[in-house]
Amino acid sequence: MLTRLLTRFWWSTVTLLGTAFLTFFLVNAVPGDVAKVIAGSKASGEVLQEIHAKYHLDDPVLKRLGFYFIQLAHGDLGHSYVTDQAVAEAIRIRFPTTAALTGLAVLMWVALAVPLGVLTARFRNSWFDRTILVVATVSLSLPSFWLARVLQYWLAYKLGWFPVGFFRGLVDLLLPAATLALLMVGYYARLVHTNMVEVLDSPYVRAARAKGASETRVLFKHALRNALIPVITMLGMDVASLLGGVLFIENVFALPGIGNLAVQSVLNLDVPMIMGTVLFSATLVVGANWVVDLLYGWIDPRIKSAG
Amino acid sequence: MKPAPANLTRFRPWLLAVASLAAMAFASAPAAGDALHPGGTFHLARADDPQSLDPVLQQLADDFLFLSLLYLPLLDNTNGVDLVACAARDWNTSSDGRTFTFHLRPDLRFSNGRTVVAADYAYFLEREADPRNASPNFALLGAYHIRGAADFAAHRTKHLAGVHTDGTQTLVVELDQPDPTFPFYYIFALPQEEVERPGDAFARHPTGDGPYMVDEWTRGVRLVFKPNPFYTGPAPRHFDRIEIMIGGDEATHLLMFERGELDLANSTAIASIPEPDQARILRDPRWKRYVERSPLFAAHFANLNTQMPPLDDRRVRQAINYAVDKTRRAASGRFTPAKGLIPPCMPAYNTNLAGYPFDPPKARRLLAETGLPLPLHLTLWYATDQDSIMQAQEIQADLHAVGIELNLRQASFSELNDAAEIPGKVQMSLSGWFTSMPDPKDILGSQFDGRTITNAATYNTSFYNNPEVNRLLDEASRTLEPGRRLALYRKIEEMIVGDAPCLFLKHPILCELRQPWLKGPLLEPLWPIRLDRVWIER
Repeated sequence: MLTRLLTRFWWSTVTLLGTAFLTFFLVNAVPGDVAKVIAGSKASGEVLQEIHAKYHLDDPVLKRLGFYFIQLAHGDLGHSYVTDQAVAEAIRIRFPTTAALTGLAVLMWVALAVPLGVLTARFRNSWFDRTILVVATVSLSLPSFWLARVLQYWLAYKLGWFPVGFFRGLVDLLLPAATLALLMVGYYARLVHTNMVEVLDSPYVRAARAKGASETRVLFKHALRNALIPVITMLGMDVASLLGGVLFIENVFALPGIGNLAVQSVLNLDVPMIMGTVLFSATLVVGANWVVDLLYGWIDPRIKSAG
Repeated sequence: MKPAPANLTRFRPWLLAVASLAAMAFASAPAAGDALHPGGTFHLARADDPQSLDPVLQQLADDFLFLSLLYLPLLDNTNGVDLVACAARDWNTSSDGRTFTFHLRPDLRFSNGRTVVAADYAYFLEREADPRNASPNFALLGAYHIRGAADFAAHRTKHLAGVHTDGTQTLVVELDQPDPTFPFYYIFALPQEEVERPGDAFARHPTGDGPYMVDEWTRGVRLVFKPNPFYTGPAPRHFDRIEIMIGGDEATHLLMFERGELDLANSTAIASIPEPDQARILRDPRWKRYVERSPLFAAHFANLNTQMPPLDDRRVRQAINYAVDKTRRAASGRFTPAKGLIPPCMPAYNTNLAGYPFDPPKARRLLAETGLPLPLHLTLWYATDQDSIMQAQEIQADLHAVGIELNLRQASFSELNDAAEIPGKVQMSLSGWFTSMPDPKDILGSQFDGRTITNAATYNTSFYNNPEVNRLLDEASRTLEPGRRLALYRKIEEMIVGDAPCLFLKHPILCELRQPWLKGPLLEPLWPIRLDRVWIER
């Protein structure tokens, strides 16, 4: 297990370094002068020169990358070119909103998807199964910005059941989280369904039934636990990815999350902030991989012993 | 929009102030009415934070509304044109139009309790004039030629020679050449001890002498203002609290506004009411009475690079101007079709300027005269905002009809700015200019002075160089006599329009939506939205 974790650690470090390299070069390949973003279109040549000197914008890219890595090694993500705010502070302020939104949405879609997946597997090919299949396909096909805007218009603006936007308390997250959950629940319901169908046909489930175990016990104790392994893998990846920013939903509902921060940084050519948000997201994905690995061992002891 | 004669009338007081060559003091006249309308919380939402609350680092007209809450300028204006005393009790101009003396109100205090003195204004000007502070206003201030500014910027002197104080209550500014527009330059007081405090305390919680101070600023989340307990300015303060939520887009803000959660639908000088919603809002009996419009001191145009073939031929540039229909979408009331560069709300607007009416046959004739083989192939660069996209497509369709095939090249704002400054790189680019004074000096001098095309960062991205225009620009900027000054600028504009270094497109109109309970004058052409002048009356 330890060797496995160390190997994981090594590859995680390589992944993060690779991400940093790639992002830095891509951002620097974008045409445009960040000095003009900072000082505006009416800035004079002298002022632009001062900004170039302050941020070493005229240094070769490799030299700047070197400085960036030295800074990273000191645990410093730098300061925004545009606002002078510390990148770490900006992420710290934005992350709780994204985390709360993601957490609430995960609770909602897992709470819906697991029972739906189990029941459609149990009653496969029934009208119930087919209806859920259609609903899941529709939910998978909906563009997030469209669904968010439609729900915002009808449920918040027209009916007044929810706040239209902004984050002042958890209540403000109910509609955005429900939107996100609606977008994800179809996929997860089908994922649980597929794995349950496979597991329900396996010999040990037939054995459990033969021993006289109740159907509920068979479904939830014997079958579901095994069917959840691939679901947890996907959930880990999805949660990590969402924690890196729920772009469209954050924007429509005016939530101050990581996604909004990343987009604004790209529009401003704000290199330290872009690097910070990308590295933060990459770290979350790498971290989620670790967590999923550990969960595997807990759910399926055979994996732990194999490691 | 027709030019308003009333504007010409309003223009006279400040031009006369210069022309009279007398030391003429203006009585203070608070802009928002004398009555006090205290109380309430003002709610607003914005997509982004202001870039800075330090007036030296502020660059956008959109962000000016915050400065007017935090700081008192020496002189303010009403309706964008008439100057009024604000932090200054009065001011006067020397007979040669080069020296400006401001006498301060004696009782002004910063939000830290310290009394405001003349040296605080001198410190502000020196911060702006020092390129190390990277002030976006450096070039604008430089155009006034304050005595000793070049030496100060090059760090050959410790102070601006042309800025000095006479005791604690008098500020004197000397220019190298006369300039009647200097009083329109906003000069604020900055407490040096607070600005130079280690760390970023001033950037987060700036100390000013305005009616409000920052209570909380969490970037990307919210910005909250509370009353400055030491405020003694001339205009009344209206709100107990101002809450600005940061984030979302204009569509979300409009929904919140319609549900009564916001007092103003939008707070940007460019977006105002989202265009797709405008027709609905104007039909809606609940809201149509509360739509407010204000022309802006601004012009939108497409630069035509006069040094790149085939645009080096004036007839091609004129043909482009005749080929494009500038009145399309004008019924929306969001802009006035442009005949030239000076906006209709500016006193120097020339009602006799013919411009280029939509005339495709004439465009074809001009192109035929050039003998160039058709179709001509040109490239237009434009930014990624919705208005630029629509504008570019309209130009493309109109030019296609006269035999010009336009290749559209979309670019980020910074890429577009960067590329347009490189000689011989960009044939055509969509552009615009918000002026910072009700005088054509800014828009004509900045964009069309041919001597600036060799600068690394030139605004003259048409690379237009007409020696006679250059000479007249010098003459006009130094002319104090109001009638002569207007005549010179009108002549310059006529020459530029004749040479057609631009495709003259439109002058934007700000279209804002306010709640019925929000009273007081809100919009003006110069600094579009003034929260310091409105109040809530339910």
